[in-house]
Amino acid sequence: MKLKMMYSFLNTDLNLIEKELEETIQAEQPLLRQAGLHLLQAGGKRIRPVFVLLAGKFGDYNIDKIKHVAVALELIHMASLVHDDVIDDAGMRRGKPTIKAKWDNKIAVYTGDYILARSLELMAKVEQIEAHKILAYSLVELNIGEIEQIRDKYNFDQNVRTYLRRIKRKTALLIAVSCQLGAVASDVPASIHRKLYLFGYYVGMAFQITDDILDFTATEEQLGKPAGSDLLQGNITLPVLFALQDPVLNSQINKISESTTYEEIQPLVRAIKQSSAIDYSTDISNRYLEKAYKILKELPQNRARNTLYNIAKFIGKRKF
Amino acid sequence: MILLQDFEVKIAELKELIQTRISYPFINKYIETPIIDEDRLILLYLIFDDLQLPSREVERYTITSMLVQMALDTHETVSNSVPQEKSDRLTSRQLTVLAGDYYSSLYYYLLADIDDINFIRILAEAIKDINENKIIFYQSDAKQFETFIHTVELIECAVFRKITGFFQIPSWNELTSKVLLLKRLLLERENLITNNNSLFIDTMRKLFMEQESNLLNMMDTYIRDIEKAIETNLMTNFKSNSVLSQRVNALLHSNNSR
Repeated sequence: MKLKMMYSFLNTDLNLIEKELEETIQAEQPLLRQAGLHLLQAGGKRIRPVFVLLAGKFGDYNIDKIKHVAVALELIHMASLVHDDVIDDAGMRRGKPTIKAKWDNKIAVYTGDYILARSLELMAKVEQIEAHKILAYSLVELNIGEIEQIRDKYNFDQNVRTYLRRIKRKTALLIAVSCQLGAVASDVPASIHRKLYLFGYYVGMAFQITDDILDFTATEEQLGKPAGSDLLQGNITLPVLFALQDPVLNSQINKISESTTYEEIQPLVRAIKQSSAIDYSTDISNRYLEKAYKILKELPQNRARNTLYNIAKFIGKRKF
Repeated sequence: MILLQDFEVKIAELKELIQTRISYPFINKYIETPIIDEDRLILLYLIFDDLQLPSREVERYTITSMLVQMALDTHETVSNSVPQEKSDRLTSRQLTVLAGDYYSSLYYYLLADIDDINFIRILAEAIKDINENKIIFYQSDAKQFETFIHTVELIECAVFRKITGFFQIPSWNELTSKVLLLKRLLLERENLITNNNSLFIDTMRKLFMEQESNLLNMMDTYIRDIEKAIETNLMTNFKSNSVLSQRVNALLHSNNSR
């Protein structure tokens, strides 16, 4: 089943979210408006709003209330992408020129700041102070994760724990928070919204590990960027950490530096793809998914729970 | 109203608290620690002190407003040029973007910590306004010097405008917006004289090229008008606030060579 089909019963509300996203980034200044729309029209899975809405179904679901959380979280994600493209000097995203490429770094930085401000303005409509405490803590952690990713680049002397902590901050936290905040904004009891947080955390970890595996196993066409891009940029992911345990691969990986070219890295990318590092990584991803399934069983049975299960299963099997 | 000696201790304390908050060893290694604009810090503190808010709020509001300003100032230093080599310069630019984002997240975190949703909204609105105006300024095609300066004023005083608007203290709004504009103009005047590069000077030269020889005069006329407006406001509304008067007067007389 396609991902979108799994939550088609949310389509009316998701369309509303899409409309709200568009309205929220309608800046007064034309260029800012264009830049925001350019980003929005590049698409995206909108997985965070989906998690917010599904989590809301465990409580007093009111779209007029939780839409603020759903839109705010997607905007936070979008703002971080705009700034990431400045950081990575990226020219393309989702097959379209990035804001920094279409305009320049300054416009991208202003746009990212503007979008983040709009998201916090929306969040300020959420009355539950707990939601703010959770989100604010996660935003700080998310930024620390990004800073540490820069710090750990080309550092082949790091362990799996460092990697897991980094992807928790970089990816899993915002997904976990999406699940939890949809519930908090719908007045779901703490015993349940904490489990939804854990579900999102486990799924987010599996999602990022799968992403890191796909950097080696998917094609350039599927990825929208050359295979091995992460490694070329010095990002030490789980498959690389496992590959480092092989003496032959270890010596090749340790030669990678900022001056390594795309062509030079391709034989190594193929070697890692054929190594057991991929299976080991898949195994870790599956363990997170198992934990996600397990925590779901502790939640009240409803349609949203089944959908969360299907999404988790999809993430585990996705090929790109 | 706070006594001068207590005030100085408090400002020093606030500066230290901000420095501790933003300190992150890996960032410190690659980018310069942002300068804490003492004039802004003092003005913010005096506004909140004047409102007789609980000390916890005075402290948090001052610190978070400063963090927002520092986040935006840090982002302002991100350049368009691509570092030619993948080196420390690239890391420095990457961390400049991330440092700004980090300071912004701290503002939200500190206000959520004291359950203050209203102030979260106020500062978010200020950030929104500043970035709208920064883009206007960046693409500036103003025909009038006044329009150009007005955009600068909106950028410089957005945080204060939102705060003074929320607490309904228009006299503070009038004073702070003029003081902050004056401060910026004095800085840019210095850049003009010393031929330092700045977006302000570059844009001003581009827009009013034919009046190049008059640029300094144009600025000086503007600066004098603002100084007069500040002096009048100070005398009318803040006569009894000796700490404020002292500080603003120091700024007014910081450059007597004009």
